[in-house]
Amino acid sequence: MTLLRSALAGGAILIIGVGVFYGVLQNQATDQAVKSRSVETSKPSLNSSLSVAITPMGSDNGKPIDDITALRGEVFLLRAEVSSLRRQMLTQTQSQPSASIDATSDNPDKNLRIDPLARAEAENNRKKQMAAVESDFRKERSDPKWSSRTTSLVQNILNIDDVTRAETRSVECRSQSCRIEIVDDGSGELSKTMPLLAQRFASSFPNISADQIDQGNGKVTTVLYISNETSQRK
Amino acid sequence: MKLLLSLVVTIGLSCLTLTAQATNANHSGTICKNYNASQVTDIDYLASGTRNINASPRSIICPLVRAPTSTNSAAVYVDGYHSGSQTTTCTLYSYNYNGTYLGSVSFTQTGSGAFDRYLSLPAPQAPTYATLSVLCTIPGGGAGIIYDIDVIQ
Repeated sequence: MTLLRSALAGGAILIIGVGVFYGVLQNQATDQAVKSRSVETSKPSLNSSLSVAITPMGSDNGKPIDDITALRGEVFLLRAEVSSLRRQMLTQTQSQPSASIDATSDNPDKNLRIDPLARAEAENNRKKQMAAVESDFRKERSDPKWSSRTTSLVQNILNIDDVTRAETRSVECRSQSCRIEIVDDGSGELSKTMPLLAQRFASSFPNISADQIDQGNGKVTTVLYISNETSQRK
Repeated sequence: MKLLLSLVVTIGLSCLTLTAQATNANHSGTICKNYNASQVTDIDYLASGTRNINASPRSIICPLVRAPTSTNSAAVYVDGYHSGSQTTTCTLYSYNYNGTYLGSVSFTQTGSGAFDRYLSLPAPQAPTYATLSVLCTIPGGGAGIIYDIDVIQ
């Protein structure tokens, strides 16, 4: 019995050691506090850890030998898991070019900056997404009354600013959303104005999806899809 | 003995579990600065946040640190305060790494007292290398403060 307890205590000390090791690694990478509401996003994993660890321990059914055997099995599995995680962590750390840890290293898009194929794929995906947005807009029912009233409202907002007044090519509203085309001459004026334009639309159309179409002459047409939908395309 | 071992295992697992996910990023409102160059002296800072001491509303831009995981999307909380009945409009913007405007979402807060508003953009508008910023137009006379912007990830 004493031997078993000693073994279990040894296992526990090992786990603490590994936990502290990873804690130190994590602190080197980040030192961020988590606000109470933000804990909601991390609670599930923490709670699941708690339940995994505590549930078998809380069931005292009068069979201490069985409990200890079960605990030994659990400690064995945990040690294996710790070992596996430790190896993963070491592999990731060694693969970093510098001491800084890239938080996106697990992301499948990690080669986007250096891999032309990955970049082309990302751009292709983006085109597909915006084609779907365009398609949704075209499928939207047309409500002439709403369209006329809303087009006028949108035009008034666009006319507030010199850049958007001069560079807007078209405004089309259907029954819930509008499509606006604005030409960007590359001077940076539209880039400066665009965030303020989005704010002017905020009360009527809080959601904006944007697409850019290269005109091939140094100019880019920015297409805005504005809507007041509470949830946007996923 | 059982309880002690349970706690030890829990602590060890918690340390490991937390390393596997992105951590939220809480930004003080003091990171926000004037959007227009000429309004630099209109924007005033407190330890708790940023306000506008000009009589007219002013826009401030707040860059956000983002550490996306493979699950892309963008979500933030904006916290602020109105002294008396005021209006604050904030917009969350996403721009791709090449400067492309991807999308935005806004709220307009009217009334007095504290506010805590949520903004989110779906995955297509917040890919891995997109950057986020929040632009807020806040009331004049120091009657509105942006306390903080918290990125949920």
